[in-house]
Amino acid sequence: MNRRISILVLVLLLGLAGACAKAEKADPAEAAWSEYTAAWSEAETAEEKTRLAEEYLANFPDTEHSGRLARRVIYYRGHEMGDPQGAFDVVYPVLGQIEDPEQRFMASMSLFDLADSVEIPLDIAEVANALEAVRPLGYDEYQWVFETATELELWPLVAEHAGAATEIATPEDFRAEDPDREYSEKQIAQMVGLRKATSLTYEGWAAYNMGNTELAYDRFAAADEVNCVNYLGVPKTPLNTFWGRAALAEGDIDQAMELLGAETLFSEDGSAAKPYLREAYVAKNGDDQGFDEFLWATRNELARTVDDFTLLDFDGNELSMAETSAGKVTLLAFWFPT
Amino acid sequence: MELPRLQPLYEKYRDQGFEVITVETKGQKDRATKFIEENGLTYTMLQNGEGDAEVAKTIFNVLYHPSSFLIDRTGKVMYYHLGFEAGDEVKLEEEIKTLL
Repeated sequence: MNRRISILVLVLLLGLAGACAKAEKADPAEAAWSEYTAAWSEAETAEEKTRLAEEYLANFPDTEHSGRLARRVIYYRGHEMGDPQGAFDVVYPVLGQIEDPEQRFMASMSLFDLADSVEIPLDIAEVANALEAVRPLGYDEYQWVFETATELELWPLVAEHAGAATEIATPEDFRAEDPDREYSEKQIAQMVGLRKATSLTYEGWAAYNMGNTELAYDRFAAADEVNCVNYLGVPKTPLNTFWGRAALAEGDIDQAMELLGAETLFSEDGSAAKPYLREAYVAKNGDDQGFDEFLWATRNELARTVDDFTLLDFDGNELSMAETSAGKVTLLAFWFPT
Repeated sequence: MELPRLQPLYEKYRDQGFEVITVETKGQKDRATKFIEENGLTYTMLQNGEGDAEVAKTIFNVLYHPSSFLIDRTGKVMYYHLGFEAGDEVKLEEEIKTLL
C-alpha cells in the first residue's frame, strides 16, 4: 500500500518535473504567438490590431511569424490608420531580421509600396542592405531590387544587384532554393535561362546608363546568346527595348529599328518599345508619316509561318492544324480550365 | 482564360472565314468537357498531346497561360498575346478585321 502510494507520488512528481521542464523549454516566441492569435481574434479596431502586431514584433522580430505581422502593421497602421510614416518607423528596423525569406521579401514589397504611395523617399539601397543584413538574397529578391531600382533610375544599384543575380542564375542555385520542387532538367534549364537572360539584360541597361557602352553591349550580347525567346523569336526579357534604346541613342538607327520593331510587333507587350520605334522611324525618315504602313509591312515581312500539328478533340477525332485552318484567319489559343 | 469571350467573335466572323482552335494543356479532360458544355463553346477544342506529341511547350514555347496567336489566311503568325482580360476582345476584334 505504502509502496504503491510512494510510486504514485513519484510518478506525480516526475510528471510535475516533466511539465516544469517542458514549460521552461517552451519557446517564448511561440507562447507569445498563441497569446497574440487569441487576442487578434478578439480585436476589432485597426488601432487594437496594430498594437497587438507591434507588441509581438517589438519582442520577436525574427520568427517565422514576424513577416506576416510586419505586413499587418503596414496595412493597419500605414493604410487603415493613415499613419504610413509610423508604420515605416516600426517595420523598417526589423525588416532584415524577419526569418522566413519569402515573408521578408513580401514585407519588403509591401513596405516599398506603402512608401511609394505616400511619397516617403525610401532608399531602396537601404532596404536591400536591410534584407542582406541577415543572409544573401535569392534570385527573386535580387530581381525585385534591380527592377524597382531601374524604375527609379538608380543605376549603380541595378548594376550591383543584377550582377549578383546573374551569378546565382544557375541550375544548382535554382534547385537549392527548394529541393522539393519537382521540375525536369529541361524545365530547370528554361527557368534558369530566363533568369540569366533577365539579369544580363538589366546589367547591360545599367552599364549603358552609367556611360559604359562597351560593357553594356557585351551584356546585351550575352543575354541574346541565352536565346530565351517566344515562339515569334522575340526575347522574353526587355532586352530588345533596352538594346534598341541604346542603339537609338548611339545613332545606330537601323539596329534600333530592327530590335524595337520586333519587340513592338511580336513581344507579349510591345507598348513600351513602340514610342522609341516611332522615334527611330522619325530619325530615319524626318517625320512619322507612313509609320502605320511601315508597321504593317514589317509585320508581314517578319511574321513566321505557323507549325503544323495534329491533336485529338474531346470526342477523340484527330484534327490537324493545317487542315482546320487552311485559307482561314485563325486564332490559336492555349488554355486550361480553372 | 476567358474562353467564352471568343464565342461571340467566332459566331460573328465565322462566315467570313474566321476559325478558333484551342488547345487544353493540363490534361483536365473532364473539367474541360464540362466547361465547354456549360459555356456553349462551338469552335475547335483540342487536347494537348503527351510526351513527344506535346505541342504547347515543345513547339509554341508557351510557358504562361493563356497564350494565343492570330494567324492570317496564308498561315503567317501575325499577332501574339499573353493573357486575355476583359476588354481585350475589342483589340482582338480589330486585329481579326485587319486580316479578314
